Amino acid sequence: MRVVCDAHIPYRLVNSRDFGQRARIAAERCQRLATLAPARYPSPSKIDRRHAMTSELRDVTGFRGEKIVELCLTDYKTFPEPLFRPAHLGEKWPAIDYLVELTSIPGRRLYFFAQVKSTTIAPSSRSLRISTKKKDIERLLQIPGPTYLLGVHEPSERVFVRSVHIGTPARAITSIPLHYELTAGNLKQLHGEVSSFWPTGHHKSTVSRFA
Amino acid sequence: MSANNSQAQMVGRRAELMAELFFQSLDAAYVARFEHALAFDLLVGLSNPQGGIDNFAVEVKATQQPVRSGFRISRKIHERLSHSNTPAMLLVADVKQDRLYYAWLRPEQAAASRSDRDTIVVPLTEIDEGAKARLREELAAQRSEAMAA
Repeated sequence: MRVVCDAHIPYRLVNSRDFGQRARIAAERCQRLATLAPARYPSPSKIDRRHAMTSELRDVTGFRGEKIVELCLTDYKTFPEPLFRPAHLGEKWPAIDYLVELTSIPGRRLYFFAQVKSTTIAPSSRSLRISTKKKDIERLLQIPGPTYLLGVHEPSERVFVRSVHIGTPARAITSIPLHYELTAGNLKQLHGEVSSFWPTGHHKSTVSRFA
Repeated sequence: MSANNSQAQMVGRRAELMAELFFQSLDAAYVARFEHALAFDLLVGLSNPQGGIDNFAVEVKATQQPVRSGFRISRKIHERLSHSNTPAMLLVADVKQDRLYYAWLRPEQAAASRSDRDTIVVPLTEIDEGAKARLREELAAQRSEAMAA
């Protein structure tokens, strides 16, 4: 969202609880119309209001999820420098959210693509539930190069990774095992997996540690 | 892009992300980032119990070194922020260890013993759950002071 303040200094709202405001106003308007002309406008209020709140929560979760992913991929507590350099591709880019370059490989700029899925639902003892569609996976399979789903548990700021490679069934993926959490060890494994894929020259890899 | 530029960008970006996530976790009504260099980096608004919004300015500093009890900033920046009519916070991000520290900038800090002609050492508090609650109390106190004045 871009607004211009009185002094004509452009600034950007990087977070605003107001983005659900318009949806709530619209829901309230529907409610008023339903009261005035019930035959023409069936009462939508509770459903719409709940829908507006849910969308708002989803926006906040997704927005935070992407930032958590960036911080996680560039985490270098245990490395001399970050292993990855993520670039957000914007809201409108189909199927993928990030192009992630590998750092610390002299003379080469290898990369992978990632789609981010955030959730507020607590992980079970084995996995994090995420919500993808068959179409998401099909699109990821079409892209040459390594592609991954990054699942974010937003409240705990934990990130989990799952590979989409040749052999991954073209159907919705709904969970990521907890041992695929992007810890320092798995960040290193991911770096190794992507850097060893590129010299093969294949469309996509056939195996992954994060399958 | 040179390696140094890229490293500096990464450090700045991590600090920016840490700051935004922190203020979102405080349930900020908004976090506005100015696209052109202004007096400060962020303007944050937190809803208060009276239904209003407490605004404050934030100067974000990134470091890769462990943060000790204080952080040195330029006297010019300190003067500009501590003598403004909006409360100003210094937020220091240790981007290597993922830790945040804060301090409210106040005119009396200029007289601190470790300060010199060009810089001022500002004492910092590490941000944890307790510090978040204190921060809200401090904002409430600042609001009362402003209303009494």
